[in-house]
Amino acid sequence: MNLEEDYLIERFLKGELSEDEKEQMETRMVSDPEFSEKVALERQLFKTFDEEDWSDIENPDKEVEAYAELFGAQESKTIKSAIASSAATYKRGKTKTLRKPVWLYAAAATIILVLSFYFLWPAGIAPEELYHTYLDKTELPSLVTRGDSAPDQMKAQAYFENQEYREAVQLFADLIENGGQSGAFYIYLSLAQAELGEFSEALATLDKLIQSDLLDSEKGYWYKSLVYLKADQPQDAKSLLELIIEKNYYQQLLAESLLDEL
Amino acid sequence: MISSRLYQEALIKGDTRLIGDIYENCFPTVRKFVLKNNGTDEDAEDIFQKSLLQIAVRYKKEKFEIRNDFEGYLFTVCKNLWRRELNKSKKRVTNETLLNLYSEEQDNALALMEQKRFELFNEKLSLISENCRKILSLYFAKMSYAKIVEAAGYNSETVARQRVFKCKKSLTDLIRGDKRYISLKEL
Repeated sequence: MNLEEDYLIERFLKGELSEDEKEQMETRMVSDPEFSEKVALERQLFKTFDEEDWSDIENPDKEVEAYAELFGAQESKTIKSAIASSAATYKRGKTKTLRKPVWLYAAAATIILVLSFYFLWPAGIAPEELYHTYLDKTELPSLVTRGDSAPDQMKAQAYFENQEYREAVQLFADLIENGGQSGAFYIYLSLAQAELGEFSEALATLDKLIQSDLLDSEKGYWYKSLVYLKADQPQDAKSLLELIIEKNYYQQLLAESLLDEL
Repeated sequence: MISSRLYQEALIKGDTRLIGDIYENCFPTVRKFVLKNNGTDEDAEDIFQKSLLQIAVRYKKEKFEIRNDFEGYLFTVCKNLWRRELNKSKKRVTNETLLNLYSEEQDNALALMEQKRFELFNEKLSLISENCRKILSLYFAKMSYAKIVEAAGYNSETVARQRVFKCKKSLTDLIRGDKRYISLKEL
């Protein structure tokens, strides 16, 4: 495939072709299976890598039918029942916990506190969950300014809050590129990258913050430890948390509590 | 950390104790994700149960291996099933296309094959250079070439186009060279 053909397919999928061009394209897709496969793959790639979309299967084949049969088989129904039964038990457990009187919570907390002197706390919480819990406990900086004097940074923060991470990444990167001197830009950029699963980019962004002479540079260590959790690298998170505690860096107390849970 | 294989075996055996552990360890994160993305508690439960069933049925048929940890894999399956649901509702609202009517079993099977395609594409994406991954992430996010030029520091849109073309070729060559693509390409 050459560059022109590739660009034509791209414009077709983005809905940028004229009616005539579109018609020619569709005719070619019917008569040229190889070209049609190229268009289909490109469409699947766009839909798969766009978080706001999903690539559906359009032509179910024998393998889909074989799986459908397996989903309908008695053994799958048994598995389904076991899953539903575990879900019910889990829910009952949660409801019971909620209904416990306050004094029971106090008693349980005391017992846990006493026992924790003797036993190590079982490590059962997934790093991803700890990431969300501790990110919630961290107050993210606000980029809202008086009198709309910095619309781009407000827009970037809005993208981030609306979970439009791709747009947030772009705008925060632009703000930094254009000489924006704020540690908050790096923090938001790294968190948006982490949400997109671009962990090496997120860590590199925070390294830049740490190496900068910005006031917030120290905060880079804390956010880096959170990104490590999100990336399911708890050992790397632990080393950083130990450093934060040792050096009395930003969020030292949260770091101690998080380290205990890991 | 309990191995993925143990959880996969627990699912096909219907071991409610270990499935209960999966709930304890993984459901809160999935619930949080679904609630954050316009879903309800009921949606979160439904997605979670469907994901576990998908993993069980697939493991039963092809004994597939989960390369990373089970929790992370389950979260990805749940996330994708939720993306799929949101996409379906979007189509329903905009009447974009006439939705096919599938039985529950057929719909579960389609979701499973779509997950396999997602894994193949992502696996191949991870094999190309970091620079190419970065450019393609901008491209697949439908960013204009003018913006890509800005973001990646290219000299012109022509250079950006050539770069996207080259990176995409590396990715599609890898995908087409994998035998799993043969069974997925007609779908």
